[in-house]
Amino acid sequence: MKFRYLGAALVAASLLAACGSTANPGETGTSGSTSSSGEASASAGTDGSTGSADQSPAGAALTLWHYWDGNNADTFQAMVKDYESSHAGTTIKLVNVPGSDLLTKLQAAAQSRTLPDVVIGDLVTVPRMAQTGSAVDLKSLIPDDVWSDVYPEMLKFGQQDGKQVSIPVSANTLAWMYNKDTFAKAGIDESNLPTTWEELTDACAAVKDKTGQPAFELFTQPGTDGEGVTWNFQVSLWQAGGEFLNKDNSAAAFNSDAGRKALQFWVDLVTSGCSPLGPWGEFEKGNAGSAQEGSWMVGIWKPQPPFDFGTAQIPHPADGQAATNMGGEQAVVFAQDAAKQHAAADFLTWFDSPEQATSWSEKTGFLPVLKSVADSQDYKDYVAQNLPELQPFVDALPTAHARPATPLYPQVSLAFAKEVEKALNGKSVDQALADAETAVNQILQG
Amino acid sequence: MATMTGAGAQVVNLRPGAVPSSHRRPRRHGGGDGWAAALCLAPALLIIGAFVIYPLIATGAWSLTSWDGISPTKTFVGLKNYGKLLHDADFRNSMIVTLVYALGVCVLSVVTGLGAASLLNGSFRGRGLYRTAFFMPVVTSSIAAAAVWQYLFSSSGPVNAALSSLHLGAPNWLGNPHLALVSLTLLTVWKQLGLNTVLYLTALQTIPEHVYEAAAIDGAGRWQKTRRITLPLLRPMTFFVVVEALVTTFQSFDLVYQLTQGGPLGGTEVIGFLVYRTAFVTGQFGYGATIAYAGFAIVFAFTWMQWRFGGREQT
Repeated sequence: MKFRYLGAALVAASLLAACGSTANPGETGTSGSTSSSGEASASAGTDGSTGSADQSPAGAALTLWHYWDGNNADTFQAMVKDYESSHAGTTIKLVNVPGSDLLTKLQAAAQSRTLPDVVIGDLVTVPRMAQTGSAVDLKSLIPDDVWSDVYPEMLKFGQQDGKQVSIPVSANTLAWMYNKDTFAKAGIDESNLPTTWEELTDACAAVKDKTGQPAFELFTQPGTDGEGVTWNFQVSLWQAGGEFLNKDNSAAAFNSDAGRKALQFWVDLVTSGCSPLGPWGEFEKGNAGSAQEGSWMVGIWKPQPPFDFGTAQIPHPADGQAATNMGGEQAVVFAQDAAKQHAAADFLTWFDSPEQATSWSEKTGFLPVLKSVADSQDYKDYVAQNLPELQPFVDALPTAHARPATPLYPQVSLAFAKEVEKALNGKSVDQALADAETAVNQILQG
Repeated sequence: MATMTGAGAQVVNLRPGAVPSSHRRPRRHGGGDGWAAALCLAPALLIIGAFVIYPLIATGAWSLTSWDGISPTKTFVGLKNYGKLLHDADFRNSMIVTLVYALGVCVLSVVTGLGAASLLNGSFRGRGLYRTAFFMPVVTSSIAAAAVWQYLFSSSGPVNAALSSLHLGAPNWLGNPHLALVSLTLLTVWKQLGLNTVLYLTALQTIPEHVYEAAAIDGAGRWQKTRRITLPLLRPMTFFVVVEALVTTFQSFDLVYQLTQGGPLGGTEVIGFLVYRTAFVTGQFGYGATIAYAGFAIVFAFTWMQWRFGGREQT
């Protein structure tokens, strides 16, 4: 028996060997068809961008990566179908890549020169995407009236050496969400909600007294990337009149009076028991009275609210100003072929037209990226009738700041969050900010 | 020694060259044999080359660059990253955390593994069921297991509910850096318990009954039998369990990722998690590769110890 198997194995092996020997000197055709075609289009692309570019927008077959799921993905797909049917010649192949994998996949694709034509990703990752060296300047490919209608802060993420390598397609902001039952028990009247840090501190005492719960949950642990702490803290910093980094993102700017004031506010909230110290999520579980939350929570909670929730502007220092942080998705074009670039730009222009942008915002609950949409009666009526809880988030748009657009931001964010965590656990505010400044400057200045 | 063949056999199996020994095969035609051998080896060599050798070399090469993981160019910086490693407070913290974690997991793995194996070595009703139950955590997905433990250890979770009903307080398991490391250690030991139990069970069952009988005739009591026969004969397996636990802890990532994400205050930032965070989260591929190499060097040292120890026991 053993011999027979061995014989069969040898026959199979020699057959394989025979195949190998004939295939080897021949064409590399079939075996590497996918990778070689990828190579081909990539090299053709470089030719196209350097040489004479064909300017006719004749359409093209595009591949687009995004990470939306559920209703957002369905809505996006329907819009793409709609675009394809009204723009013969252009097809868009949608590839859904989970958000946590997007950058990793993109890194691999950049290495193997198989970047998709368009990627829609988190705006904070745009500078990282641009590091591929393949992001296309969209400035001249998309009409000026689109650029002038987009909120200027959103455009910062894609600004690089005078180029504009991304276009915003969706937005969200942070606002204040509270548990109506908890606040009612504490005797906090909805028509007279705290609007300042000082009033919030008073409310904390009332909530603690009447319900035993912390009133305002802060993001106190850096988690994997630190950004939960950092982007929430930036709101307090901006409210106090501070800046996170300097103008050209070359040094920390948070070690200031405003920075100390904001961090002291956080420390006080934790030491007084106004905020729990631990993993994020107590408010969402109903164990804390309120929290700074993203506008997407309205869409998630609206169909089946875990409790009766209300929304409002985030309280700010009495002598400070309203501010919030901004999130969302932006599109980056990697196609090197001129026809594909034009087709991609045409699709994105269509997507960011007032008509489509309004429908997209209404169907998904994303905030508009266009000022004209946010200010339009159509959109305002829709929000008032269907998503009144979204109104404070929309109202906060003009006060929304952009996070620093630098590829080093992930390092900065984590280093900063670690120091905030230390301050919340007993390190002095001055020392934590000084150490954070040292760490951040080291990152930014190499 | 009988018990050692378990661990020894594994070591031998790792060598692909040992599988097809050409002299046992009947020669069918002159030079074809070498070709056939090469062909048979090719898949294994290809896989090892692509998934072990290449990453090893590439990581080593990256550790000498300041590559960000996405740029088309990789700038050579020599040993700069290794110099940075020596002054990196995060790396130092990570080494301490990993060593404490490794020590805890090693000690508890031996104690619980041996304890469970002794219990399951007897004959009683439903023995197979218990053995299966003990092995369940090993085959459970790490992320699912850690998610359940996260719930168990949350400040208002069942563990604290039980403790406070016994008036033992309600510690903040995942909110305190030291307790978080304790939680992670317990989770890891629980996850590995089934494997360690099986290892000890095999070792226990290879101790021949007549050795105990001979000892009994010589007047040895229960305690003396354990101390003079069982424990010495289990020593090679204990060493294997310890090394296995060390390697597990130095490579640990998934449990930390789900349970604590390295926090609080870096209290569970084990080296595997630090590598992930450095390379993939903050985009420092070059430096992440350097940390990975430092971790690899330590795991390599322990593995080498395992080989050396194993060899000495067998002679």
